[in-house]
Amino acid sequence: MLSQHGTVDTAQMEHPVGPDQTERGEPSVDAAEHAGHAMSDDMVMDHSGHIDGGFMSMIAITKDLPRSRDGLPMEWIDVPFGPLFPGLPGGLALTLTLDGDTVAVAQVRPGAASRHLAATWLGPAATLPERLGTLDRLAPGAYATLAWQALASAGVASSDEAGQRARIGALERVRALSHLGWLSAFGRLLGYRWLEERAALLQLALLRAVDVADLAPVYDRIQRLAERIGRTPMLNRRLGGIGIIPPDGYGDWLTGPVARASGWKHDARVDDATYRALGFAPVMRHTGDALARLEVRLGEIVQSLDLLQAAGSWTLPVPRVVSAAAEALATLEMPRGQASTHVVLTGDEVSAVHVTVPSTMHVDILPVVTESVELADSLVAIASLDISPWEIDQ
Amino acid sequence: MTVIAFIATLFVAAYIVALIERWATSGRFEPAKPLFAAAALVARESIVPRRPDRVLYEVAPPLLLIAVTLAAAVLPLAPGAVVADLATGALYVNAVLSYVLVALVMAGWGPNGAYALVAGWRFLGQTIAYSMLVLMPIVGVGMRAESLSNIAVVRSQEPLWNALYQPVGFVVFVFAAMAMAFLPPFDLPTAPAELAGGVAGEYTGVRLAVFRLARLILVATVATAITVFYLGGWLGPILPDWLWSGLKTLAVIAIMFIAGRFLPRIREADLLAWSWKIGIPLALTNIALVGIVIVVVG
Repeated sequence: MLSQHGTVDTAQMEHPVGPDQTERGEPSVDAAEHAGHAMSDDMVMDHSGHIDGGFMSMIAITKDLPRSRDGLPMEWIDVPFGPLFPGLPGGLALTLTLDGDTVAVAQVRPGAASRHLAATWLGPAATLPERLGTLDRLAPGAYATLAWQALASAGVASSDEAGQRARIGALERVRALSHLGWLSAFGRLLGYRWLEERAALLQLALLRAVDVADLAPVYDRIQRLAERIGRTPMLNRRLGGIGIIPPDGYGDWLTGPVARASGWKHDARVDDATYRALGFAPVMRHTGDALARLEVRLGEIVQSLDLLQAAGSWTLPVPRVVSAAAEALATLEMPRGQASTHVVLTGDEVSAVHVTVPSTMHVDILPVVTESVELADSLVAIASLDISPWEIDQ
Repeated sequence: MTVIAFIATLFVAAYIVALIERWATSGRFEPAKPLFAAAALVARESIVPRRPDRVLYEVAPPLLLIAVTLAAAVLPLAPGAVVADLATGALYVNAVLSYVLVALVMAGWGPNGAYALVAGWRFLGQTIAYSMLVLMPIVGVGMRAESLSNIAVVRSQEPLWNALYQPVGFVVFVFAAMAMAFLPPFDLPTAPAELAGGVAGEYTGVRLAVFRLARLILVATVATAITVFYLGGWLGPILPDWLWSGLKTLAVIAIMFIAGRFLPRIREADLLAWSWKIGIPLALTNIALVGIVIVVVG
């Protein structure tokens, strides 16, 4: 992209990496900017009579500029997207280095949603689910279930059949809510107003359901929504082939719908006896693009409501502390993928908590799905990963 | 038609388009909303971005408004209700609306912001997609009317509307007109969730009010052009001529907005590919078919 007015203006651009180079060792915008200022000065002088009576050499002007994939020297600009950008989740802050209208580098700027939560997790074991439940604002309560499961697995909390079914109910309800929220935001990014509004309304309806009996009308509407999306003209063209994750090299550390859309059967629910008793089988796709990730999440919304109805309840029993000291470990399949926690208990107090979240894994895939991709397609690819800034900025 | 009546008509048209847009996008019918929104914009501080190209930044919104106003001036609502009945009126509409591109590229470049800059260049690409698809169907319209006067174009449709006489041209022109007015799913230069408003994103206050007014009149203008070229303009029984024009234009505006609500934004690469690989052959076919019908049927 040609710079405007002879130089790159820093007024609306940011330079998060360093003063002179990007992390890939290429000249950053700062460097380009410095070159640009020099270029600008030269150009001004050139207009007033050419430096030393010579001419303005394009080779000299462009020699320090980064090269696009086609070899053309272009000025790259770092453009902030977020933490308050209409097409991305609130709190997610990205810097996209634009080479024309394609993305050369995509980076997450962590910290925008930082709340220093870890310090608040220590305290009475009985209320740990409540405290850990605030971790992800986009899936409220999901981490409460994780904490509850950790306490249950350590024998700290009751873990009978009803409790386990309630755990599944709670988790699947959060999954459906989270996926519907993502669907609405994805519709907004795509400019698909009907989808944005309909998904948001269904999310609200599901949130307001107080028991399983209230789910039937929501279930019918969600099924119709999924069928309607499948028939939407141009949607396949808009999403198909966008943000493809190559079949090799990423299977070990991808998780959640992102992994399952690429054909990797990574799902902690497969190994869960209670899920198996309910006949659970993961929703799978194999193309690994944004369309596949949409289809997986649509399938999982319907599946979550099926599981929720089978579970019969989503109210977790209050943990009853029964042991003096224990270490608790739990792994659950969250809406965005596999999350784990390690809890150390001293008496009835939590003395240490460590949480592993899926979004940090998906941040690493950003360069794969955005490099040399047109801006609109890059944003679709990023949004299709469903990265939660709340998980990154614990 | 006096100039004052024309200007009043433009403001009424902008109000109605804003009303329909609100209804089509949110499902809410709020008659006072456009008035409050306009008052809020005018009263709001008009912030200028750092280091803009001041001339381009300031000129873009009024240029857009002037271009769409000039285009609307040659579109008749009734036999006497037109500011100027030019002999080349149909082509003039296309010519003067080409300044939409100029205004939007200026609005993209002027503010010195990345979102607006990308949006401006996007519209340049979009113009390459739609410009021929606006012009070529007009050729078919002019062939049937044997004139490029918009009054003559409407009168040529007394036996049968052009939407039925040359349906291929009608469909092509409607899509191209939506792209020209950057209506969803062709809203690439404004794309709220991709470019935070794009070419309009760096404008605030009165400048944004002028930009939005121009955009609303642009939508009304292209809808009126569709009515004049393909839907028989003021032709219709019982009701007054101007009312027929108004009703048809309203229907076109509503259909365009509603269609955009149910479709995702098109990819720029697809827009260009479909325009040149499908749209232009269809437009050429339309010209050929109209010629054959004229020669064979008369």
